[in-house]
Amino acid sequence: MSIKFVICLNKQGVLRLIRVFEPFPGDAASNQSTIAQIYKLISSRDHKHQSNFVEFSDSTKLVYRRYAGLYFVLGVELQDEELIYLSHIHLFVEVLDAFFGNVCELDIVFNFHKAYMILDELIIGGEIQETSKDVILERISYLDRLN
Amino acid sequence: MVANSSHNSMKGLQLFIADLRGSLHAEDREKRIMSEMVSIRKQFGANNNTGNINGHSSSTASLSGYQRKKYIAKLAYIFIVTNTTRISDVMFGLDQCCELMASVVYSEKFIAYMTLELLYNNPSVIQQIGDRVVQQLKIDLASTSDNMVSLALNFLGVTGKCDSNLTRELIHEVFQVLRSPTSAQILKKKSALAFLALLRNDSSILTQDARRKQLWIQRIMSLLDDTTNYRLMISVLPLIEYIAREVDGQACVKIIPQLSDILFNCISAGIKDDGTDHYDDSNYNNIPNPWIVTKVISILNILISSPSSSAGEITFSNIDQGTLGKLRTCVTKAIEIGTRPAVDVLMRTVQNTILFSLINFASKLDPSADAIVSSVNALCSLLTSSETNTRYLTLDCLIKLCSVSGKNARDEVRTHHMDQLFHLLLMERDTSIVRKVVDLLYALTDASNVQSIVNALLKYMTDSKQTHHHIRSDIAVKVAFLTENFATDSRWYVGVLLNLLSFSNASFNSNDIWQRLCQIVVNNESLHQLTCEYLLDYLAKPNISEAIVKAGAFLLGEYVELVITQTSCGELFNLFTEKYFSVSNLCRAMILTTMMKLYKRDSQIGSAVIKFFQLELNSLDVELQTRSYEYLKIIQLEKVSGARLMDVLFQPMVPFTGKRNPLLNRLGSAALSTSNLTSTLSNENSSSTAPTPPPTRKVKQSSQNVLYENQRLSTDWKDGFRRMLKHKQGVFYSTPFLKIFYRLSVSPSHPELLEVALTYVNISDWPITSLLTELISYKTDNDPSYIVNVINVPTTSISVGERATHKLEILTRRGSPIDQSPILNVNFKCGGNVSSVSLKITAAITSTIYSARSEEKSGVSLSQFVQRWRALGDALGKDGEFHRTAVIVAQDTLSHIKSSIDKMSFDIVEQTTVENTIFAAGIVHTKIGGSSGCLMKLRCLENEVDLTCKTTQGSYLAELIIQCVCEATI
Repeated sequence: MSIKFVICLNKQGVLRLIRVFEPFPGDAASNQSTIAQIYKLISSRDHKHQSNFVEFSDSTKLVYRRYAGLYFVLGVELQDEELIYLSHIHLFVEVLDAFFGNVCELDIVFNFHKAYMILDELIIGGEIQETSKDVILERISYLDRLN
Repeated sequence: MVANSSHNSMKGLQLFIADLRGSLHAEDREKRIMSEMVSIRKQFGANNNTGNINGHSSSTASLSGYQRKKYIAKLAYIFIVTNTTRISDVMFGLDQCCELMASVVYSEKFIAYMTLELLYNNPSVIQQIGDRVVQQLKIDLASTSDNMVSLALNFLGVTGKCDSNLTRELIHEVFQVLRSPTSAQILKKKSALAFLALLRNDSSILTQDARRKQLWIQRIMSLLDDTTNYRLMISVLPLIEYIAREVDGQACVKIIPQLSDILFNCISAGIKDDGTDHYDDSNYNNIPNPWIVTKVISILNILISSPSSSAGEITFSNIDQGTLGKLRTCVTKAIEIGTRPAVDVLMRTVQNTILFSLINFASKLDPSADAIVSSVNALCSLLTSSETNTRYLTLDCLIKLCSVSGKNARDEVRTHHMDQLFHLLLMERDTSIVRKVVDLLYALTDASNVQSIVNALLKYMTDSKQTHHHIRSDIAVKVAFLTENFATDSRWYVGVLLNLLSFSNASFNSNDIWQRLCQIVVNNESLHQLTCEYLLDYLAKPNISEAIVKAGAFLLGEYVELVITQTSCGELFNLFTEKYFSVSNLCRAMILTTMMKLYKRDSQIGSAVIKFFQLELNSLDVELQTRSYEYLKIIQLEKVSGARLMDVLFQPMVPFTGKRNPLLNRLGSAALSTSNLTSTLSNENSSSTAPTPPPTRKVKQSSQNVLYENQRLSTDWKDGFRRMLKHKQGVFYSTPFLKIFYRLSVSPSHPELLEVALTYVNISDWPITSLLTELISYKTDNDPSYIVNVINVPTTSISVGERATHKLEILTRRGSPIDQSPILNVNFKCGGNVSSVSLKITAAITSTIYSARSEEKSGVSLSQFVQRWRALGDALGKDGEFHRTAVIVAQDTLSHIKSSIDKMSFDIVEQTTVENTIFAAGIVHTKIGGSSGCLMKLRCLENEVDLTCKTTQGSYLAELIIQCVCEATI
């Protein structure tokens, strides 16, 4: 079991972060339509009455959560257990929040490279690398100070 | 903490982003992006021209590192903000990006790596700069700065799957970082996941070299030695998970006890409730770290097969009692955690994660009926949760439990929780949850509850307005299938199916269903009349569904005879004429045929029928036109020639022979596996179609033997092996680091069960770690001759001078050649050395001889021996005996052999009558054959011994015994 991709979109469907561990099917041109499909699927769901999991293709399901105006989406394998990935997303958001101080979409827009830096300390190779918020924060504040 | 904005900010980048956000119209944004590209291109272009011709610009380049970083970051932003559409437009920056990658300034290098991580899954990018990237990665991996190494590892962790070249070129370097004891923890973590990404890309690096595979896997497993270093573990577990699933599951079986320890400690640590807030890594807000728990469970799920799976795979019965006990305790504790009140939604999520993953795993542990019941009840209590996710996953988990743990789980739900499910079905607003409820109900159906379940499903279909087309269709097929399979009353069956068809309209595809109904009615004469009457009632209603019209057209046409007393052919003709214009062409064609059948029964309606067909000659549909034309011609021909053409053309329907239910094809798409549906049809007891249980490593049946044959035994293994034949205890094997002692014992009541206790003593100056053991039997499936059962495994680490014990039992089911004895593999790490030992543990038939001497019985006398020897010879002749001559090198052959077989517990006949000959007797025990007496005559010559053995169970057993004796005395 592993994460195939991490995507962060805003409510209008504009991409904010993308990390692809397993290349999307098709060529580069179809990447864009894959992202559009994901947006369409997720934004059409009822967030009060529907679960945070939805099958996307015959090999991938999406685990997602909306925080204010941003959707955080993980693409995982069908047989994976969904819940743990919600914890991944939440941990990521918690770290972003602590690092930027009450994070909002603009923080991620203007500091996208730092958002990637944080993501890299959390998830690589499609797997979680560190689960302690304090350890991650210490690490990224160290990296952030490096010249 | 607030992001450090002064230091690493790039003002130009921030301005550019602000500009893009400021442009209200898409065109303005587009213009802004284009002008930025032109400007960056100019900067890079100018620079490229002044640099080297081959594109590697020199260090004297005019562009500063900071500027280069800023421009590359802008390109990365453009790539993201355009939803990755502009890949071809940013390609021009790749050379400069490589340049930036070579920078020694961390923040510059970081931006280069980050940008390439975004672009690298594009083949044209790899083609253009792949070689340069690999070169730079090599340099960075060898760097003395951990920060640089970390960036390179991170890059491989992100892009490892994109380019197979990366695996070939760099996996060794990554492995060096991973295995080195001096690597910083962060580098070990990153390298474990980078290694995993490279392995996913191409695992042949391990699979093609058996020796490297063994060594590397052992190194990787040793990273789990510190069972409290959860932070390292979190990155290493996924790697082990991959190896277990894709590379070599067998090699990972030996870490089951260690994984169980980790799980047990993690779960126990997590539920300490001492009132203090303790946040260590095993623990996440006073709940066991869910990431560790799910990963360990996932690996265990791969390694351990379901109890019912075919022999040759590892199931709960192969796991030692201590480990099994720990795992079962974990399940109990998880239920405790899962049903605890949660502080908030997040904690609830974490608690449920642990609960679901352990309950899903529990079925592998051969749970008791009580354990299953408490799992079911814990889950059902979550069904009322107000949270959609919880309900969804609870149902998912229940479905798995009901299919894997079978009848016990299903019965518990059937007796206590059906109303809850029906309630959920009617109230639930999330269709994905409704689907799960339907799947669960489907799995729970049997003959006793089919009526209530089908009624609930039908009620859902009539009441619920907002349901999707596909879920209605799915329910319809399931209702049809369940009704057919479990109905005990045929009237009820027909009633339900017609009811189902009556509200089909366009809401679901009902073709398979009405066709199946017709097949069943045709094949069951008792249903003909009844169905036709029901159909007439339905057809009398206005706006009836087309499926009913189709079924009616076919069945009433076929069995018009049965209803003609109530409804005449003329009335039927009028009825269908009326429906004709409101149905599809396919249905119309069917009605045309029905009219012919009505005409055949009653030619009085001839003129009306002919008129109708003539009208349809003008139909726009070719099929209808043709059919009408043909039918008209048939009627004409009959009238002209007087031949009863219709009797030949419209013969009564013969019973359908196809056994396969066409509905099966559609159930397949209903997220349930179809593999055992055919058996479901024939076997009423197994009422569920099992969803696939968590995937288990595939072991081919024949692989066990290959595995045994492929073991490479340590040199000198024979010394300990032979010692075990003769002595009940002693040294089994020794290495400079580790000495292994053994002690064998059998109980008088079960001599066929040999207890082996091994003691591992650390005789080195360093601690021994990663001590993992594994036992490989000659065969474990297809009626094996012995079964090895591990009672407990040694601890994974042994301090200097300390010892660890390892206990196992070997049950001899029947005699087998001694060279097929089980193999023990021991791997360990000591003082930085990785060692492995592979030895055979003696599973000899002679080990089951339980010496009579210990019970102080008098031995056998010579006359008794001779008498029995003759008796055996009379009874079995040559079939009961085996003979062999063996060369012995010993100073005094006679006394050497005498002492050897004495130690093997044979009774030696005290005699002086026959010189140079030993007479010995013993009783061997096997589980299947019971006890069997054996007599041996050993004539000792100089450097040679002549052995003859007779047993009450024939010459094969005699041969096996002689094998043991020869092995022990040589």
